[in-house]
Amino acid sequence: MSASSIIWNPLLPVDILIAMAVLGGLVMLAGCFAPRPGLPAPGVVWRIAATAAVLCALANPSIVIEDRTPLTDIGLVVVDRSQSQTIGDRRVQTNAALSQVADWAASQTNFELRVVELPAPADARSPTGPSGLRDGTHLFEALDRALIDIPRDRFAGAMLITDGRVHDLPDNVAALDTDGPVHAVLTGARDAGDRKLTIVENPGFGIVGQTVRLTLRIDEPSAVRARQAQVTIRRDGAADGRTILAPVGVNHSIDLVVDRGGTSVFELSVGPGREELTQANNRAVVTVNGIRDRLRVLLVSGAPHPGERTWRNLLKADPSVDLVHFTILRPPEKQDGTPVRELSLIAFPYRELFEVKLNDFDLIIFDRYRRMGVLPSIYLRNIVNYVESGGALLEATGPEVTPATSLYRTALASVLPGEPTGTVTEAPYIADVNETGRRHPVTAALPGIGLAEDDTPDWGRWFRHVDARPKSGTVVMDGPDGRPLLILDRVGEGRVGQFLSDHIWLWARGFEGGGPHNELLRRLAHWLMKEPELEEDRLTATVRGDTIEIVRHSLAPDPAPVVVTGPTGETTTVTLEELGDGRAVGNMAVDETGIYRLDDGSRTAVAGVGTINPVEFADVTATDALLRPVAAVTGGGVNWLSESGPPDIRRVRPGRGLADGGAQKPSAGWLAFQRKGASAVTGVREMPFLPALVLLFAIGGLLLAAWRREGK
Amino acid sequence: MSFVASSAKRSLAWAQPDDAVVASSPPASDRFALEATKDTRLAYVLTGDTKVDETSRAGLAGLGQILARRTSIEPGAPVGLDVERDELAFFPLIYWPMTDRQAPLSDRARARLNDFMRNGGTILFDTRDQNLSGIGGVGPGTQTLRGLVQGLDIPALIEVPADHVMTKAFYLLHQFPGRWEGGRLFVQKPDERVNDGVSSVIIGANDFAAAWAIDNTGRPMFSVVPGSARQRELAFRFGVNLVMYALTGNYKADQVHVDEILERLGQ
Repeated sequence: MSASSIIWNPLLPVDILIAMAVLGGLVMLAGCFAPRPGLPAPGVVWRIAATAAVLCALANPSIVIEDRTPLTDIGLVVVDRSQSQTIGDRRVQTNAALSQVADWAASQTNFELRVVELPAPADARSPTGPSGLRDGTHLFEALDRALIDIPRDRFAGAMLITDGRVHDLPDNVAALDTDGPVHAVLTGARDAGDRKLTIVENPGFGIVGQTVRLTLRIDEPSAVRARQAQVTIRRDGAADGRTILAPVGVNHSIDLVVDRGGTSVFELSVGPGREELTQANNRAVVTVNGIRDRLRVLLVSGAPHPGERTWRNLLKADPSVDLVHFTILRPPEKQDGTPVRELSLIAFPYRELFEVKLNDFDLIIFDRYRRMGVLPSIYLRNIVNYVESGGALLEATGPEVTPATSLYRTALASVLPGEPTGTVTEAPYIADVNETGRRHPVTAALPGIGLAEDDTPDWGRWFRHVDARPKSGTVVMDGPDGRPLLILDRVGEGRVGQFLSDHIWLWARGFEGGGPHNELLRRLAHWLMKEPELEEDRLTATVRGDTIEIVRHSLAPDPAPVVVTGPTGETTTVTLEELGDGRAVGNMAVDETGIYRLDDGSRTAVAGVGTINPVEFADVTATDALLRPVAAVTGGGVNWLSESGPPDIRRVRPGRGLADGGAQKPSAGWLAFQRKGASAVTGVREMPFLPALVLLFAIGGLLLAAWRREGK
Repeated sequence: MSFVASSAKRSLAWAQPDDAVVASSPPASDRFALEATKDTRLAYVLTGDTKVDETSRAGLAGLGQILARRTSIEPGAPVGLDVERDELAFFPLIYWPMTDRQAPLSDRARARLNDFMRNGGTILFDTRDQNLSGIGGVGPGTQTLRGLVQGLDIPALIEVPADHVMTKAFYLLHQFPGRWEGGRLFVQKPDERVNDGVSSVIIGANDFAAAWAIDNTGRPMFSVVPGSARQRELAFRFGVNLVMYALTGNYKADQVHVDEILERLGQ
């Protein structure tokens, strides 16, 4: 294709040409009207012609020839591949419509079809781009991004193949300016019924031991609405859960008990309604972060001793602990007759502590406590019950453990894991973390422990050890000759720790550089109080972006791989890598939102990927309500695949209608792309309009003719 | 246990054969550590002045007897310390009387004392000069102390406030007499966040050890001035409170909150 035009390209400045023309004109006029006979002068016409020819030659007309290439019109198809598009036969409809457009486009000349899928297929996703896990359908963002690369004079129109549930509709649809129609090709069926479960209010966190109130709502189209529906609540991936009846169509609150610290995952599901598009929105995952109320620790010191302040420093510095401390400053047998008003002593409120308020304590520490008649045995039996029903007890044993005074000679024997042998060793030794302890969260990776398993920690020495024979529990630290130093045990619902030396205060006082007394005692106390972070045998799954981080804590290395079951039921096996400190870790990439269940054969975990109420599944019924205004503003149309079948696709000249019946028709039978007819200039040629030789002969001929005429 | 000059051998804290009194070879220091950690022990600084050292030992021994008789603390025999050489970390409380023979400290001793105080130990400096300082005057012990503490991390001190935990650690006390009475007692401004609010330094002038000192027959070694059975009893009570304070820290001060915490329980 080419186009030509004539341009003037004067050899002399235009002013001079004009001056010459004026001068020539005057001479001619004089020739015509001079007062002489025989007017006009013979040959004046020839002279005028000759002058004009000279001027014309000097004005140098040229022909410019442009070579043009026609440009293709560009049509855009944005394909909604969001999760709601997997419902029913929407995926099939989508693919059929897409291939129909593609086939049509292939048959066109000067037409290019660009297809954008959203989210992009996993293999085409850029690492910085939106991940496949982004919640919601963001078609307009994709449309905008694609339009950046399309010149306006080539944009023939766009077609959105979607169920119509678009979550990024522009605020002001009327201001849309696309220079081409935006058509909606809708999958799914109008007016399909679907039951859905929505979490209206999730408190997010709650205090351990109390309840949190969760508000949910079950919605269903009124035509098929049931009055009540069964909601099943399962926690932390348990196979069974409790079932409640909830009314349909109104908010309904339920109370969940927060029974432990850390994250609890609650999974709520409602059975299928009479009509269902998907069951994906009949489920919701709620995580509740259990926050522990201030922990109440009762510390009972048998006598003032140098280690007492180590406990006090630790427990008073811990912002989550309320410390109730009693020290036996004066045993009952040492009455010296000092008037009470001169003494600062109070009676040990044992009934208050060990009967009335006992169950309000989270941890009871007997610090070098000895049996000496202060605490009647009935109260020690209360402590046994307290432990078995979920309490925590720590005994730090000192030199006073003679067979007669040991707490082991009381009812507490049934919960204490170590039976004192009566041997008290007074010799220097280094408190060492044994092989099991190096894997136990209470003692693993303590500062200064040494990296290799047989390293001796660089901690200061202790000088006393109270020997005991472990009956149960786990020995995590060793004293002299590998004898147990720290024993941890679970009794009934509760936990017990037994520290078989009182010399940890030597670390606090910096003897021989000290040791990790604060870290060790803090972890010990919190393990006893069931801090979830310190559980020694657990599987945890943490979602970070589109990766699930899997951590397994175990006291013995466990080669079992973790089987992860995704939201749609497919399973992946992840092999974990041992870190050597009781942890084994692995990662798994995820690309679907929903609940992932992890199971390694003996431990389970649940991870909720994505948001609690995915907007993608909030409403999955197909609709034209959102896109019809867009079609109207841009001159496009709306086609329901389920009603008119795949639309007939056309190309029309500008100014013609772009859709069957415009945007008003419920389902347009045909949709059109615009013909834009844009082209690009590929080259420009320029040539003189009058060849120089022709001009020369013309001028010469005209002058000659003028001369001859004049000469007659 | 090689830190005692032979002339002061009787102030050895516990009996040892002379041939064991050699340089601080590992076994000897281990033995020292073993003995020091077996029981709770009160310690005093050896000054080189035999009479003063013996008074310190007898004073802490007398206080130990009172503690064992009246409280659940049953301390072992007192330990005399050479601050230049002995491990200090085992002792909750070190009694340090001022004498005119007090030698300046080496840098090493200063560092050890600073570590001791930082890690929760308490030093009771006794200037013992309450009888010698007139109104507004400065006694010789106070002058010695001023020289001695150069280079030590001595915190800002205040006179013991009326509600200080030392006034209620075991006995209720309003004065802190020793052999003398009327001397002022200074402590660190209480800060519960550090070492349970226990003062690393206590400074008094009342020659406390002399009031506590008892001889082999169990009789007081020195008369108290102005002198009454009550004064000696109060001196012992101060000693009891002092040791309770060093061992139990702020315990008695936060017991006032216990009722409130118990009240809150179960709500």
